[in-house]
Amino acid sequence: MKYLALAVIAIIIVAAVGAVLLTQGDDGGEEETVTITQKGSDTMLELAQIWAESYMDDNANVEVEVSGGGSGTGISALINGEVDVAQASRVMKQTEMDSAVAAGFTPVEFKVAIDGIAIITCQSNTVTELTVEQLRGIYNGTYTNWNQVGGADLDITLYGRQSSSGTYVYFQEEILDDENYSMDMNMLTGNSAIVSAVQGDTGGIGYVGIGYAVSATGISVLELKETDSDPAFSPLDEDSVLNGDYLLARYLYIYTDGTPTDQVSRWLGWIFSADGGQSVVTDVGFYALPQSVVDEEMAKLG
Amino acid sequence: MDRKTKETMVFTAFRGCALLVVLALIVLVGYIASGGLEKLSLDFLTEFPRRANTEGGIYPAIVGTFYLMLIVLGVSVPIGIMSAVYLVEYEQRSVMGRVFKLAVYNLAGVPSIVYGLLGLGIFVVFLGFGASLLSAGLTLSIMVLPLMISAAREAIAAVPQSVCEASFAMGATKWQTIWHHVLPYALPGIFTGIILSISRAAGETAPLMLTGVAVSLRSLPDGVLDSFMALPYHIYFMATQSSNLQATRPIQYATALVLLLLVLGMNLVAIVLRKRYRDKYKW
Amino acid sequence: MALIFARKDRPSQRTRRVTHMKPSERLIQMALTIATWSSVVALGAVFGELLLGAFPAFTSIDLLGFFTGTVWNPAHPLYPLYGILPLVVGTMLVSFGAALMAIPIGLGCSIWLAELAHPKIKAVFKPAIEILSGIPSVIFGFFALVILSQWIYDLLDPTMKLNALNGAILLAVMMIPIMVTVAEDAMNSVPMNLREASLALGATRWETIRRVVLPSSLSGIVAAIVLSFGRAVGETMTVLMATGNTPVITSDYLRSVQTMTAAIAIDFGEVEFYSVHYHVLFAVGLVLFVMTFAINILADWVVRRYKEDY
Repeated sequence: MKYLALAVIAIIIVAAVGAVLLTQGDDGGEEETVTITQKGSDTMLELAQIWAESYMDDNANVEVEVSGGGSGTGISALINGEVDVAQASRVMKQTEMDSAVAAGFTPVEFKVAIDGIAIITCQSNTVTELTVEQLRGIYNGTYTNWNQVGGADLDITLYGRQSSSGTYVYFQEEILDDENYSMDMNMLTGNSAIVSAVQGDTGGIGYVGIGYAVSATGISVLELKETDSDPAFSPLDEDSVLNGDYLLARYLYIYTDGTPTDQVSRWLGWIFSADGGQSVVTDVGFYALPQSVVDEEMAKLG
Repeated sequence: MDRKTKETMVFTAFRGCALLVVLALIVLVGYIASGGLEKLSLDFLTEFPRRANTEGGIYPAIVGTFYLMLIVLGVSVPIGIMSAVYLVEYEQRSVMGRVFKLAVYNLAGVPSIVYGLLGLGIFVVFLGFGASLLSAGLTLSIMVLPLMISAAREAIAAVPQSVCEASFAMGATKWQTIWHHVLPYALPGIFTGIILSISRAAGETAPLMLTGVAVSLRSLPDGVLDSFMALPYHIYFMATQSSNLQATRPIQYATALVLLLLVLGMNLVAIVLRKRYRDKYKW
Repeated sequence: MALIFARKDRPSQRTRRVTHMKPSERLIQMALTIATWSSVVALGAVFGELLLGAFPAFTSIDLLGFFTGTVWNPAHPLYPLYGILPLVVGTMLVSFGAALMAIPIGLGCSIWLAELAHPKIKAVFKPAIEILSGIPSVIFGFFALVILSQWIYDLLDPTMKLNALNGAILLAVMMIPIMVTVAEDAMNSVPMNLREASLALGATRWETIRRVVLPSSLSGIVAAIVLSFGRAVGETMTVLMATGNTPVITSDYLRSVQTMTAAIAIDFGEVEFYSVHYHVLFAVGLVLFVMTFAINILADWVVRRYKEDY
């Protein structure tokens, strides 16, 4: 019978603590909390999370929820009305635009940061630069051994993203000229998965947003050149990314469903601001927008 | 080689096996503990994550796991005990009894990811609860139900016949007997089962992944239909998806340690409880 | 885990056919019945849900290709391929590898526990095994991802850091508690007098174990093996984090593979709801469920058929 009493007391305590904790969540009671939901690019995920944190620090009544899944997933969610904002590391395809219009709105595109996709290999790999043709040949399966592109006799293991990834699509357009990836490519979900894989595989090669390569150890970032006789550029070099010398420099985007609402406008405005969102961009390893671009984008906010 | 030597060799090998297993346990717990101890602090347990999990704490994940355990407690314990009572006291040899036993047995063997699919299909989509505490909690409850039922069954079946017969002899009804005489004696065993079930629910990840656990939230869930964070998923996400693995590594270790301590703590309590109960009630 | 060796059904002394029941008693009995039915309903729901989710896949993809296809690439934008074989091979590779390690060690452990261990040591060891079985799988996965993979990398120089061996080792550690619990239970139920008779006839303890205890508890040992194998097949988090998630057909333990469980878990993050991919994942879940169900039934049958009645 002692046990019965003990059990009852324990359950009451647990329930009481639970009830107390449940009521703690209700602290947005006085002012209405606005929630902005954002989804999409995995490349932009860490950036978006830190943006969200910083923004929410200064704006107590706003809640920004960020999640990943790939640019394609985010854009789908925007079209289906599941989220307010989509983050994408590529532009929307025409088919997606059409679907959006059919769903009743015209998406508005905002450039929010600049990325240079880094081609990474294991630190032990002797190859330091590739031409576009070599990179294409590696990723469409023509080259299967590092000694075909100036390295050691070692099999090449391909790592790439899943097809809902904007980076996947962008890379396919720019480097593969819209051809298919090699069937042997390992499709990993997320930039950090690619970084981990390449770290642990002496013959591995992968492509990730520069933000992910900057903070990683155990990998090398390759330089790219147009042809053998051209100079090679690295994505780690800000100038070559900003003036387009680095061939895989690209914008990172945010899409809204039509003209942004008041709250979303403020969120975007903060992202464009030099001491707000743009300063965070460089912290994470990406590149901030030049002022001319910022002015252009701000104009769209209306 | 003579038989005695052979025996010694073989027995040493067996002892070695046991040693290996203990070693595995120590190594596992040891590495997690040593990696996570430095980050462990009161702040860590009560702060929200910051800077994409490179700083801050894991408070929302702890709370989320706690809420999940609460839901499992509320759902699977009553159903589990009631089923166990039924199985032991009411329906023993009939076909229905066997069907129930088979159902429980097979439920126990279903992979956790399949439970995730179940939760997704029924709670998230069909019943419309969405990605919420409720969906995940209910899914976990179904998952631990077999555990609860078998623990409760064992506890109830251990109460000897004589107690029941004495009660019947005094004119009590079936239910009176159960409520006043069988359940009280079975309670410690049932309690052990409850603790084991909840600790199992606290450690599961796969069902959560499919019923919508969130990666990073700024506020605690304020209702059962709200999204939530949870410890096991937090570990998984940081270890595989965070962009700066080096920076989040200490937090990964510390979160793993917190989960480990939580689960181990509950398991130890259950074990101790069971031992005392067995020693006390040597029928 | 003593489900199999639970006390045999007592004769119906406990369940009297009561002809007159108070209304309240009847109500309570009904409530209990409903509660018990929940388990049956739950099992049915699992199966039904899988079928429902998988069915559209059966009509929209090449079913033969699903079961015999050697490429799993469901996310390809133009030519998606839904061959389940790489996933099945991945699951089998990891599970069999784990079984190969877990069976001898688990058996050795159970024999030691049942026959050789000093009661005081036993009292410490059994809780230790229980603790091991209570550790969440995500922690095993974390250990594999961060620590064990590094050891394998340093020792064996694998092709890829996250590989099948990584997963197999940790899966073996997870299988052992189940094996030990069930097998030890089986060995314990062999009555003492059989052992004593053997010893009286001059056999050594090992010979007694080998020729009397083991054969008598064989059904339980086989059940232990089958059950723990079922656990390995159904395990998700550990293999998800440890084996590298690359669906290929290979027998090389030092490269990445992907199991059925991991494929479902990982793809669900990005799959478009109600697309073909979505339904195919349910189909994989169905195959998985059928496999583990069959393994469970097998274990149960082995016990029923071959259990010695003492």
